[in-house]
Amino acid sequence: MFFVVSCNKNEFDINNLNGNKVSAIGHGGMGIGHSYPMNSFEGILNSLSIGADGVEIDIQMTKDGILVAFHDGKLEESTNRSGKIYDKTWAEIEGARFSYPHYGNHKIIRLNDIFQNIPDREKYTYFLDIKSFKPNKDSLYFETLNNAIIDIIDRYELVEQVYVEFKNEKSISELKLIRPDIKQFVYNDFDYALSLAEQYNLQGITIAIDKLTHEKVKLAHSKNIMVATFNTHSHQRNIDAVKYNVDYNHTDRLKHLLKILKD
Amino acid sequence: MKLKVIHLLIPLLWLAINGHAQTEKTAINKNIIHAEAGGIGGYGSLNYERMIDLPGLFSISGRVGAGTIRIYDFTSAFNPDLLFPVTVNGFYGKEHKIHLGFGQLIANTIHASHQDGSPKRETNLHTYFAIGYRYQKPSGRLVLGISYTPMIEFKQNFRHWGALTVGFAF
Repeated sequence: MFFVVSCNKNEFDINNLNGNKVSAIGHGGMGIGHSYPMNSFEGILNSLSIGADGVEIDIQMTKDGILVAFHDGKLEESTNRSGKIYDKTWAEIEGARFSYPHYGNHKIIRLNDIFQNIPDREKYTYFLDIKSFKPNKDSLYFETLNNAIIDIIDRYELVEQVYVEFKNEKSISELKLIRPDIKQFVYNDFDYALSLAEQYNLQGITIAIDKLTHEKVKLAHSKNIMVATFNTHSHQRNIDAVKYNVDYNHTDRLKHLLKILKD
Repeated sequence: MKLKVIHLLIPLLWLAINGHAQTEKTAINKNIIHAEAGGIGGYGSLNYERMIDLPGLFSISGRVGAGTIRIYDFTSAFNPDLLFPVTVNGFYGKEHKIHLGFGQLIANTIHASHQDGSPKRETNLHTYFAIGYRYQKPSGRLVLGISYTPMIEFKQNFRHWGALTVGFAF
């Protein structure tokens, strides 16, 4: 006997702070394991073209203050170059090519180029996961980083569409101080993230799906704090995320999520 | 990695040398259609290969093929990446053969312009080498192969790689 397991939108009773809708956010574009590399321009554009509500992009800052879309701590982990983003200028990074897929010719891109070239960019939601691998960050670093973030959000008039994601309190407080209107999510352990979100009046928290429960989402929502989740790299995890009533799912299985939300 | 390659090659060489030493060469089916997983096609390719007998147990072949990475581009339009492997191979052996090869991949692939976001085609050549083992009975139809197939992408990036081949000779 064969059972076909399906899960349609009609089976979900979504109740959240995002208009009772789970937004499908492409994790780094098309997600981990897709043939388009994470944070490649092609992956980002592909996710939006197939119907994502938005995209999560990992952001790092170069030595000369340019924001680039890149996940890893070292370039050699996934490109044909070596070194660390914060140690290099954009001129030194430009042209770095992602290692996979073979012959792909997908290159690291500046956040500015992404926003400049996304058609109808105001239609989408953007999570900017700010990654700071630089040790011993001083006040000048935070000032430069915040100015770069603010500059790009203002330049493309995306203050309503962008959520900035930080992991640590210092970054959150610095940006909140100078631009309280820029929306922020905090990415950390649930209890700590929730306390920071309450303390700084943030829009939401970002928690891995395996650390999340329906009750935790309910608790965050009761405090008027939205919940985004990630690590949804299987169909079951997509279904769990929807059942938990998260507000945003940074999914690695975008087509599946779109399908179950549409059906 | 080097040790693994050596461990792979030693038994293949042994097979090739011992597999033919006691027998004489006979004519083989010279045309081969084969599917290659991995190899110069990246993730795979379909190929036609023509064998040419040389004196002794040597033979050479020329091969052309086709493969792809994706059929649809990032805008979801039908716009396939096109990969065309072209290689020259040398073989030594009767039924169990040592295989050496090199060639080029002509890759015509799609990427997003960082200037305007539109799909752009670009053609690049990538270099390929092969050393491995092939099984093909002189009068048989079945062709099987396993190879170490390192490549140089974009004329600068060396990559270890491998291939499995299954083919039909006629």
